[in-house]
Amino acid sequence: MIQRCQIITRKLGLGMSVMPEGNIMIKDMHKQSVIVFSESGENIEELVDWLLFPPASITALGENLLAGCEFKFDMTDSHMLIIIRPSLYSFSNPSPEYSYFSDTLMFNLDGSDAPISAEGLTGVTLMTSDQDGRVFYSRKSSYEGVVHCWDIEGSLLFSASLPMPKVEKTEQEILE
Amino acid sequence: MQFAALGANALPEGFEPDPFHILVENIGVDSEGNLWVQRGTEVNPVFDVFDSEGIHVATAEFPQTGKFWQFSITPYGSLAWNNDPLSGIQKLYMIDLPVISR
Repeated sequence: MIQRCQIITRKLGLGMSVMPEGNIMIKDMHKQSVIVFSESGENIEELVDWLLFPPASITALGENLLAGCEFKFDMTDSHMLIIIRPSLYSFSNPSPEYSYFSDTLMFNLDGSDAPISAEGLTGVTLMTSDQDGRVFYSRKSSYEGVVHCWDIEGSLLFSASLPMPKVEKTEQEILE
Repeated sequence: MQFAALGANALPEGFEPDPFHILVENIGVDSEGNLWVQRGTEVNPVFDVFDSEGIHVATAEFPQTGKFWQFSITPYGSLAWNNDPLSGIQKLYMIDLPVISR
């Protein structure tokens, strides 16, 4: 890998994606919106009418399509459930066109075994896409290293597993 | 985890950190359709590369050290930045990925 140029920036975050035509799509957590900027930084479009909040881990699929994770929360007597649905969205509809998959996280109501993420509960998901409209999803997990891939129609193409075992943290890493 | 997102500002009492590293830190796809999976288990950035059929074809290391490097690997170009640079100033790097031979 060769470094070609350097651009000094302020804090860079997650939830941004370069669109095929060169525009940049950024999730704005403060405004609960998805904003489309031109290459020159002009605000082109702002998507605000999400049912609860914008999907997580957004990735552009075309001029008017994006994929992202829809989150729903539920609770039992003893556990909190997070239902994660990697889904396809069009810019004109705040509801998913369809979901590729359903993934569930479960942890104690007191949060003592909740998944850790610097971006909050919704920061545990990873999504990306390619020029052919294929969508990839994985979850930050210590017991499963799998990436699922679907085509633009939502058919599962493959699930790729990392060729490595679980790795224990050191005491220092746990403290950090 | 930012528990502020749940309306609290601190970790819950009795919080037990996961004793294991997450396995997948990040994913991206290059212009050839290869899937780049960054391991969460390494001190320095290491990627496993899968071809467009999901076959593991290579392992690649980023030539910079540190666990705070972040990446955005896309068909339209790839970026790297350090979330905690020693200088305190973040720089965004455009990177050229190595050619993956099959």
